[in-house]
Amino acid sequence: MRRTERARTAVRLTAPRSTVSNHSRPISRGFQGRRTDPEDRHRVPPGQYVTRDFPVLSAGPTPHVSLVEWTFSMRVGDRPLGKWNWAEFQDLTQTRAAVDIHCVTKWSKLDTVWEGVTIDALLKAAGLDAAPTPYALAHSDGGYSTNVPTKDLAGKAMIATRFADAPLSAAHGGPARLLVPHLYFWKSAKWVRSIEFITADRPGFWESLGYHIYGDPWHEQRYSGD
Amino acid sequence: MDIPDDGSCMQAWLDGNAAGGILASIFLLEPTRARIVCAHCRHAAAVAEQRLFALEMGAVLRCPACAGVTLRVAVTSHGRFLDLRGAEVMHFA
Amino acid sequence: MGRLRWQTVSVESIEPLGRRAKVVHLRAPDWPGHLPGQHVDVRLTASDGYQAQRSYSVASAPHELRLSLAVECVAGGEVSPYLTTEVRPGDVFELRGPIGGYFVWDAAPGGLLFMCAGGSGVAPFMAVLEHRERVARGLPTTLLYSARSPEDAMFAARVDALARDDPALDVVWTYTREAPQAWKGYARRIDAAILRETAPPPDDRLLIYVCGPTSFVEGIATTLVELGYGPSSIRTERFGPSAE
Repeated sequence: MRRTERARTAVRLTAPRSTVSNHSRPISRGFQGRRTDPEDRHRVPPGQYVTRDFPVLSAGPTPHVSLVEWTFSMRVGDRPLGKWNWAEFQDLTQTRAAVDIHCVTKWSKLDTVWEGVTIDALLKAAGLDAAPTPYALAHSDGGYSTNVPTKDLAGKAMIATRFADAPLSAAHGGPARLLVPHLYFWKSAKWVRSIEFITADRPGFWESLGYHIYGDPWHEQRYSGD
Repeated sequence: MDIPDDGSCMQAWLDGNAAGGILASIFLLEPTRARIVCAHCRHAAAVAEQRLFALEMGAVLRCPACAGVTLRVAVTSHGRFLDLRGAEVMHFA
Repeated sequence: MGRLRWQTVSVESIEPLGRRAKVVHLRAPDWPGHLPGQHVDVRLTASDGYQAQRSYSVASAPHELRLSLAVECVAGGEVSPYLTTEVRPGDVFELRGPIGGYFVWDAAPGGLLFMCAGGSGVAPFMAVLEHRERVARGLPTTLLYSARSPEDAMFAARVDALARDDPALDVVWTYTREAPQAWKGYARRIDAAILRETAPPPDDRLLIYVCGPTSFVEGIATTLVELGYGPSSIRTERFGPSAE
């Protein structure tokens, strides 16, 4: 996986742009929030603010699954493509990636380091050269789901099990989460357990509730209609 | 209240009281006292008694008995979205 | 009555409230009035458009002219450090409220009152106590307040003064980190023994309110049910985690 591409636009960002309409709001003198000014503004998508924290945001309680019970699988419809337990997963080719991540709630975190198995490696381990369908739905413990075109998984995504050189904590999605950093971070499903390859796009948890079906931070695709 | 975002709030959840503002921007009747019958397990409880998650993205309310999603709401730049499928019924007395 | 909307309020004054908290008095010209127990959403906007939003209980009673919020500074927080260390009289921000119809106390139904506060969870109970002093003096009331230390106990002087003036108001303190010198009262987290010794006996007319961090509220509500109090008589409001 390559480091996040630099912004495609050549515009020098002096302040975060936002396509969200700005009603006039009273400015609270002296309020700056927690964010820090980034050195490289062109790494920050429009409307985002850099944080050194790592906020925890969840749609449900943190699941607890033992590594003995954990499995990750891929399927097309009812047809299984592959299933790995923790030991088997660790035996697959591991990749390390340093990426920037962007949450739709407006925080961005730069230079995050992850390790895991790329979707390409998983497909290869399942005997496939490429994804069998144009779309995929990631399913997580606790019922969360999110959809991603498979062209956005190839060469651009992994199932991550380590963050900042340590096992991924449960709060941040451990034992394993999907990592698709070029899209808003709600697509990087925590507690991922399977990828279902689908022929037609199907909205996941947030996509069915008004969030953008694709979610490209560089085009500020936060909500459907953006 | 502020919740420090150092990852320490793993098991912490707020209750439906904190979604009162978002819900009151949609419902004309006071929403936190409204009672929800969970569509998953039929447990009945006030909106204020539901377990609240994802307040930064909207609100996800979960049944205090079975943790199934009872109500979801998102506030977006194109309006508000409300999913009540997890509630068999919502009763505003 | 319409949908709830944001309104602009301005800071009238700020007072210290214990070691790491402040009470912020606001001018809210469009305030429609409220019931004790209700809260507001506060929204701050920075000059570059960045926004942050949090909820705070209204600590003032309905009859008071100013709207007051009790804010504890949370390390690593975004809004509370601003409201407790930066804000000055004249500053403005947005507010939405009053919010809530479940965690409210209305003196009309009468009955006995038992309030259990953990740290900043005492904020809504100040609105209750000031309102009670106005309209329901003599109503049998117990406030059980758990604070880290005397310096962290918000509104201590006012609470003690209200209790001195009304024998029907009983205030029980417990300190979880550091008790006052020569303290003979409770000096530990609220447990079943403290609840048994402090709470009024189960009664159809008894209304119980518990407010504070999530774990505090969960523990006490569960214990009260185990001690025989009806779940429907217990109202809770969780503030989320805070350092203990």
